[in-house]
Amino acid sequence: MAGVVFDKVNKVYDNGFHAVHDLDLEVQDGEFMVLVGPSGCGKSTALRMVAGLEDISSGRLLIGDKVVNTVPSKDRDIAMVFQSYALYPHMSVRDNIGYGLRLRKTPKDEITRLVDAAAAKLDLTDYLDRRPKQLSGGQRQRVAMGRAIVRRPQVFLMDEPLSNLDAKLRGQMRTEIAALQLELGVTTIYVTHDQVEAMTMGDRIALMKDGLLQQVSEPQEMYENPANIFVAGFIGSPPMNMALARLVRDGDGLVVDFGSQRVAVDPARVAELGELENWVDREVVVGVRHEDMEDAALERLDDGRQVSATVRLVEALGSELQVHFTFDAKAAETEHTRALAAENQDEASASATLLGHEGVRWIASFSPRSKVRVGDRIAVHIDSARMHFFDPQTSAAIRSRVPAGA
Amino acid sequence: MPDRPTTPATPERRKPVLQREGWGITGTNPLALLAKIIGLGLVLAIAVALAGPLLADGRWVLFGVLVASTLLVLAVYVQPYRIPPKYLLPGLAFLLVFQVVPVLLTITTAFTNFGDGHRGPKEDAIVSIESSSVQRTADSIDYVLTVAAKGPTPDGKLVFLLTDPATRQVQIGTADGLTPAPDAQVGTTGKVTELPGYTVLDIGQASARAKDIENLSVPTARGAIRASGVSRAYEGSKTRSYAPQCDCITDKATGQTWTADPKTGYFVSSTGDRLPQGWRVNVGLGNFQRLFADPVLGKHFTGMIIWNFVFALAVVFGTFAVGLLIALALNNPLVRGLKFYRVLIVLPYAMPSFAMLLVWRDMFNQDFGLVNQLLGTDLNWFGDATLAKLAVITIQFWLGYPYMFLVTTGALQSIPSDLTEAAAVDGASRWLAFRTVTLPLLLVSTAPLLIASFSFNFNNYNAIGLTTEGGPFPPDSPTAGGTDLLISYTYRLAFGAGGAQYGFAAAVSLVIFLIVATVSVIGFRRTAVLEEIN
Amino acid sequence: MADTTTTPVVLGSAQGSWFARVGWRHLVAIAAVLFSLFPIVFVVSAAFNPLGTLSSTSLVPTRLSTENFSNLLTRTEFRSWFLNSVVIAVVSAFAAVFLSALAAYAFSRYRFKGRRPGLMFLLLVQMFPQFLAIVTIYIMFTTITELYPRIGFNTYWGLILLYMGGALGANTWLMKGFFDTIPKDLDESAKVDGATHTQVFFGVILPLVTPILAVTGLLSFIQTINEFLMANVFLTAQDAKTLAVGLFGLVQGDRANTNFGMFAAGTLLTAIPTVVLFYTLQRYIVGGLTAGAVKG
Repeated sequence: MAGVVFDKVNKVYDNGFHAVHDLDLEVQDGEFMVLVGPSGCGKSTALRMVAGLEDISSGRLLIGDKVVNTVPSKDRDIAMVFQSYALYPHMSVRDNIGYGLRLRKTPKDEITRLVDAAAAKLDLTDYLDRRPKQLSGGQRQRVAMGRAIVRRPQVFLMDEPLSNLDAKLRGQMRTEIAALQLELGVTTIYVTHDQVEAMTMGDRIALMKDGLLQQVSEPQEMYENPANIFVAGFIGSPPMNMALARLVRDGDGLVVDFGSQRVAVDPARVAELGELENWVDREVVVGVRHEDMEDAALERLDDGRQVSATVRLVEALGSELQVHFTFDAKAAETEHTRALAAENQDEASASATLLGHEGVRWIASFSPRSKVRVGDRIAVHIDSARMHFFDPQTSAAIRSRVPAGA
Repeated sequence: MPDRPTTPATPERRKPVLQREGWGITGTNPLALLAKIIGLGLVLAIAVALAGPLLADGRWVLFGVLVASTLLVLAVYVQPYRIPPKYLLPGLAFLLVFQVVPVLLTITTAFTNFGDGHRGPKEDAIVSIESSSVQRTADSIDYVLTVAAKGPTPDGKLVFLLTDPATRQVQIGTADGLTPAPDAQVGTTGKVTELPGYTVLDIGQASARAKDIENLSVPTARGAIRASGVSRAYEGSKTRSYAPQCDCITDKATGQTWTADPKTGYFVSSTGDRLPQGWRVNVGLGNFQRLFADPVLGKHFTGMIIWNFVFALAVVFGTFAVGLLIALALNNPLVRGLKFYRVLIVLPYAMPSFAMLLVWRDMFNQDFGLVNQLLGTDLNWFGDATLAKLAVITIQFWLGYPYMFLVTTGALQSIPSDLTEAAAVDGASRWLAFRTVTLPLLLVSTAPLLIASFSFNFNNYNAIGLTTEGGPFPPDSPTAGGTDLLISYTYRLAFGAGGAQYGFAAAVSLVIFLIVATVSVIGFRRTAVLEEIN
Repeated sequence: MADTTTTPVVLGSAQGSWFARVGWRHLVAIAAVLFSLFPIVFVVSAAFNPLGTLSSTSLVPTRLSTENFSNLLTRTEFRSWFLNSVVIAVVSAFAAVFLSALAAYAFSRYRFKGRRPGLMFLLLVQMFPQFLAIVTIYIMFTTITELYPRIGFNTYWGLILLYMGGALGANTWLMKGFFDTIPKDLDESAKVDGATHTQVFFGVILPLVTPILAVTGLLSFIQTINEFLMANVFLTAQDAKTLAVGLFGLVQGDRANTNFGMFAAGTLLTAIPTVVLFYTLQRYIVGGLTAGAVKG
């Protein structure tokens, strides 16, 4: 087993495209690291550099304590699972799984033993003599996994291995892969664009955008303390709600002024985010998670932490209501919000049709007890103790301390 | 990591450290290493074998090329970094040696008058003039002649083994002169029986090369040695000789002189007479001028180009349309005996085409041909330009349409059925669905093959050369026939009975190449095939 | 590539008379079969015609005799021609397939300087009528024959080497198109699994491109069997000739067409290897020819 270290790694393609920019990342021995980000962010390129499928333009890449920049793939002792599974159509499942061992001149009976063991672990024993064509999507995925685990490599590399499966299978395989990795304890780098996979599978998440690493941390930490607007918007579903507002002093406390309405910031939060004091009387981007809002009618109190809004759409999910509402405020416009809008183009265009002219559109999770209907004029209570603030120029989070892991 | 990302500065282009991909000579796999050593050893062995004759013959330039290319091969396969050359080299080597180099050399001759009467340099022409003027005189020395070929087979380069009847010394005579051959075994008659490195020809073999023997003239100080029959040779003296001072040839007997004309490559007398032996000179664009400016040729040349296009296009689109029609008809499982039909229809494609062309030629025979028999006509198919054109198109159509049938069948089957279904659901009629959905998709996939077919048929020598041989020939143009394609016309220029005009033929080839390349490039552009090379 | 058994959509198959639905298809097919076959039937008829002349041959034979075949085998060097042709065509086809598969692999799988110009060059080089370089080639091989008679005129090897020169231009594009349809993931997966580039080529790619190998092999075989111009210059000795050169000699200058029967018999015998090969590889041909081009 061995860790993987990126030390100021760059990838510049021949056409000048700078795919990975000064990547510094240390994957611990035995760790499950998820590389996540929108398509084209350089996560796959980073993974392929570990695999030896792309040359490294500059910087050092270490597997264990060995610099592997010029070591060919076959000598890196790694295994990779591809999005397409890349099963050899002309070989049986048994030969597919055993191919790497055969190339390494493992004795025949040893290959048989190892392949049988791997197949048993993956429930593939009955399919060993079939061709990949005769298998279902989930089975093919398992064969790809089997090919990786049979060699007991130092590092597993997985490039969106679940994206060709339907939603149900994907959920199931997610748990299986995570369990398998835990059992084998092999260092794993897992690339995905799906933040749910990132949140549920990774020991840590490394989030990339445009070739730049944005934040590295444990999933919950990344959710609670996003380093910037992009991370905040990318992690979590539905994404964090944002609006542009002015931070003003009101008596002892701070108040967020959306223009026509104001929301008081919880004093505890002000204390937590020491930097916030510097932003008084300046514009900030305010972020609120959907679960940090509630139908004010259910709370029966007005603590000055609510906005009045118009309900545009109600989605009943059973355990909660997802309420799309609009209220009078300015939309946040930074390079990061634009990138997010491009990322969620479908949702963005859907919201555009719903938008009307009234301010911004947010999504909140209300208790199923709420009785709101489309078109209702309602008050939305905001838990301002969990409010997020960002610099509207740089998109960076306003906070008091640098969170661990970044 | 910076707390917030900084906008990436202009990416500096660093030279990447190349990853080694091959094994190189330091590879880890012992079996692969062994295979590589054996392979490279084989290359070396071949190189050494090739080097032997080169060294023995003193061909230093070729030897240098051999050494350089061997080193290149070794370098390509020993280095572990660049992989593509390892895969490209074998094919490219053959391509370069046997196609590119000859083609380039041919192109360079397009700007010369290379051909019969202008084969070699001026020195050769002089030697040839002088030695062909050799005449037997009273004091001629006679030799016993043994005809031999260089090398182990009787097809090698022809040489004379000349035995001096007085001294029984043997000399080897070639067009370059005489060299002594002390190793020769001489029989009682003076004939050489054996000489290492040469094959002595028997009477039969010698008479097969009578023309070579007659033409070989071995230059000597006094004149030249020529054969008289296959057993005797004489050294005669020359009547014509070259004088460098006047750059002219003078005939001793008549006193006539011919002066060298560097523009035409001939020795010309004051009255305008030319000696037949000329030499090769650069004529610049002269060949091309002749092609377009010559009034008689120019007229036929334009017609020929038009006919050439008509032929290629008619064949391509005719075979495509009919092949597609049959493919459409048979692309339906309701048709019983589908396989049976297919097998029989494509049979012409599997028949040897050269032979079938000759068969068709005979089927169009006026007196005994099957076509006239079947049609109940008595047409002189190859005697009339229009009929002959019709005939060659028919023949090529027969040879080509099964291929198009196969190709369009494949393309039809690869068009997803939901597309035509969608069109049908949309209410399109059968014809409309075909025209708007099937045909465009079909053209996308078959366009490259159509272009290839065009460039093949544009240069389809066999279609003409094995059938009409270009004819019929109009009375005012004995060289350009009614069915002549550029290619068959050019072939006749280069190898025909009227004397080889290689330089002119090369010029025409260049024109052909430009036409085909232009049409193909336009075609590929339009079908966006080139865009796919990424 | 679709199998012939997959059911295509039959537009409007629910309406129309039998003729409109199926009948016309038989009509077209029968017409095509007749047109395809009549020259071949004529050749068969001529081959079995005991008189062996063109004038005495009709479409349907009147008397059957194998005289033409026995004449061909005894009076000419047909056996050597046949053997020469098969040897040259088989070796050339294998060599051509191998050389162009190597090149197609490089062009399909690697990005390198000169790749695009290289492909364009291959496209253009085959448009120059190569046989017009015959004079230069002749001069070249005269030298080669002097230096190395084993690969010179009247040998298999000289002609095979020459044909190998044309291998890349004719096949690389077709092959590259097919290679491109094999996902690149497969190579990369094999590399990570520990394969060298040669192991990828022989172990992963080649088994997956057999259809196009079969097609190019067949096309190259047919082309070589039919090649006449170069062979005619190269092979002058009677026993070194190929079928194309030998059979042409039979009818050339035969104004009275008396050898026509023998020629027809030879044509039939020449067709045997091609037809056998053709129908063995048939299932690959339809797919292989178009797969490379169809991906657009």
